[in-house]
Parts: sequence; structure tokens; C-alpha cells
Amino acid sequence: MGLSSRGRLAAYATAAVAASLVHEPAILAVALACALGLAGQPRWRLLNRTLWAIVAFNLTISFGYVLIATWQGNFRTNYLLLVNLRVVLLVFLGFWFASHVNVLAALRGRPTLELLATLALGQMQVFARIVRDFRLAFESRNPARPRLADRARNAAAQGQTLLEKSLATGTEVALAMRSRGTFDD
Amino acid sequence: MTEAAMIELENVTYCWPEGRTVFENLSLSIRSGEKVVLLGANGCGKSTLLKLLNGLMFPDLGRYRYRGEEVSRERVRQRDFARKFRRECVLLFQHPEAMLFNPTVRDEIAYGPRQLGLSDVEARVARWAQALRLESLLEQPPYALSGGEKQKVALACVLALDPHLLLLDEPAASLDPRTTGWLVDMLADSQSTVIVSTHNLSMAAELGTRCLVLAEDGKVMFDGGVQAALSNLDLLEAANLAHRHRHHHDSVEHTHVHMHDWEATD
Repeated sequence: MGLSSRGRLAAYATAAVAASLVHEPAILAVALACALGLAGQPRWRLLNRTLWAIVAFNLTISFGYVLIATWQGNFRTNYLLLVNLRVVLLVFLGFWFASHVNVLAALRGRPTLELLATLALGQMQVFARIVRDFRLAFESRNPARPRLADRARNAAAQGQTLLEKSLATGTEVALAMRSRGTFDD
Repeated sequence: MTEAAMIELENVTYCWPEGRTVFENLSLSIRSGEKVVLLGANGCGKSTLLKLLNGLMFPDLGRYRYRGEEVSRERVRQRDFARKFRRECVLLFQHPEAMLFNPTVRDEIAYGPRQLGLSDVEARVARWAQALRLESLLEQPPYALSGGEKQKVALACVLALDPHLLLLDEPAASLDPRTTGWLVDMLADSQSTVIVSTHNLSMAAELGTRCLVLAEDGKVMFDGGVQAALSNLDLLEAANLAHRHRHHHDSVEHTHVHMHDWEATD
């Protein structure tokens, strides 16, 4: 598209705010179609990733809404569509943005935001490695197809490790930042 | 030689998804029963190579054969092959917590043998718990253990399968001296083929007889005897396994190569 990283960040922020302000499902559907069109070749990979990322959340929210709205007698299909399309669009834009923009380059010149982005990206890399290692170790340890209960236990252990790691890393990072004078005013 | 090869890598190229090349045209042959030490600096691809050999990652180009059979993504999806391969070829991960997910240490060690429907699951658990002095921890949840204890449990898990090919990623990294000594003896006595990665030079001589030194760009810089590798200071320095820095001897300051966890024999 020829936009700089900062331009892309601004475009993403504008699109995300606009998607949050629009309350008409048809417009969101058109916006999603436009985003898919503009995303080029990786559009289906991004859409696939988006749908997997939101399926549990959207189903839970949608199911909850259907139950409660039906019980209260004010079920609206438009609202259900609006909520789902908005989440799909925002998450798709997020993945598209993440795959095309160097966040650190986009934030260059804004030290606080750059620092926060560096911390977040560092944490994300650590978590990505943990998730990958858990997946590979589980594969490696299973000569036969694992049972559902084993998968659930593995997922729970993974969640616990991520939580512990995020707490430990958070504490460590805060101490390191304090040690380097970040909080000294 | 080729007939007896247990592992054959043929012109293997592997790149990370983000495009960084880890190995390019890597060829390697390891015979059954060999004890191989994989030496290399941080980030040279030791762990990635072990994961390739364990059929968890697959070459972008080239071939990997285990006992003459190609190990590919498609092949590992075939249940019969996967069952045989995962039983025979095991990997101890560098971060053992990734391997542990069962409610107790006992269940953790029993997991693999139980999956295979072996009849002597309890005997295997008892044998490896005793060998690694884990008896008192058998009813403990693995997540509550220390790093070294987790390492021992993970080791017991892979050994409980009586593997033919043992891939160990920095196995002594958090082990106490007694367990490290036990590991060295166990590997020396083992009939299995063993490939151990480490950047700890003092351990290298104890862990195997053949040494592969990986350069920081993933190329094999040396393939030969461990002692020959360890006494080649130029090689070690080029592989970033030894370093030079200024040094004082009384009033004399000079610079020479150091391997701080290994005393050179030349």
C-alpha cells in the first residue's frame, strides 16, 4: 500500500474506532468484505486465524444473548449480527495489522509507548515459545492418540504455566525497570 | 555404513516461519548405539535439530530417515508409524515444564507406558523413580516441584519407554551433581543411541564419544571425537564455545582463549 508503519498504525486505529462506532450490521459486513478484499493473498489465512480465535468467545456471548433476550422477549437478530460482525472485523483488522506493521517502528519517537510495546512484544514471544513447546512436548509424549481428559489436563497445565510465567516475568520486569530508574521522577 | 545408520539427514534445509534459515543442506548420519554430543553456542539450532529428529518439525527441503524410513509430516500422521516412532524415539525438552501435565509424578511417569498399554507400568514407574530418587515425590503434583526435580521427572518420563533413540536437550542444565553423575553413568551404560545437546564443555567429554559442533549459522563445523573437538581451541573459539579476554598473572597482562567450564589439555 506504500504506507509507512506509522501511517498503517494510524489507519488501523481509525478503522478500529470507526468499527466500534458503527451500529449497522450491513455497514460492518461491507467493511469486512472491503478488508478481506484489501488484505490480498493472505486473506483466507487471516480469516481462518480470526475465526479460530473468536469462536469460543462469540459462541458463548451469542448463546448467552439468545437465552436471555428470548427469556425477556426482546430478541433482535440485528443485534446478534452486529455483535458478531464487529468482533470478526476488529479481530481480523488486528491480525492484518500485526502481520503488516512493525509496531516498534510505528511508535518510534514516543518513548513511553515504545517501552510498553517492547515489553508486550517480549512477553508475547516468551508465551509463544511456551505454547509451542507445550504443543510439541505433548505430541512427542503421545505414542497413541491422547484422550480428551489428557488434552484437557495438558491445556490446564499450559494455562497455569503461562499464568505463573506472566506473573513472574511481570514482577521481574517491574524490578528491572525500577532498578534502571524507570519509576524515578 | 548406510545400512547400519539409524538416523540419516540428507541435505536438510529448515527455516523458521518468519524466514530465518536455521539449517541449509545439512547432512548427517548416526549409527545405532552411538553417543553423540551436539555442541554449539546459544541459538545455533541445537534444540531445533533435536525437534527435527523427534519428528516434531519437518525439513523444508531434504530428507530425514529413521531406520531407513522417511520421517515426514504425512508419515508421522499415520497411527502405526507414530506409535512405533514415538515409543522408540524420545526427546527430553530443554524446558521440562512443557512436558508435565499429569496430576502426580506417578501418573506423569506412567503416562507413556500406559498409553502403549504395557503390562508393567507400575514396575517401570518404580524403577525410574528409584533410579532418579523420586520415590518421595511420587504423589506430588509436578507443577509444585523445583526446576531440578521437574527435570528429573521429565527424564524419568522419557526413560520409562525404554527408548532406542534418546534425544536430550541440555539435560544437566538444572540437575544437582549427584543426578548429573547418575545421568553420565546411565548414558555410558545405555544400549540406546543418544544425542545430547549442550554448550557446557565440561559435560561434553562425559556425555558422549562423537561430537558434532554446530556453527552459529547452523552448519556442522566439526564431526569427530569429543576429545579432538575439546582440544581444538581455534574450533571452539570459532563456534563461540570459548572466548578470549584480558587476563592478569601477577603484574603481567595478556590475552588467551578461555573455556571457563573446561580445562584445556594442550
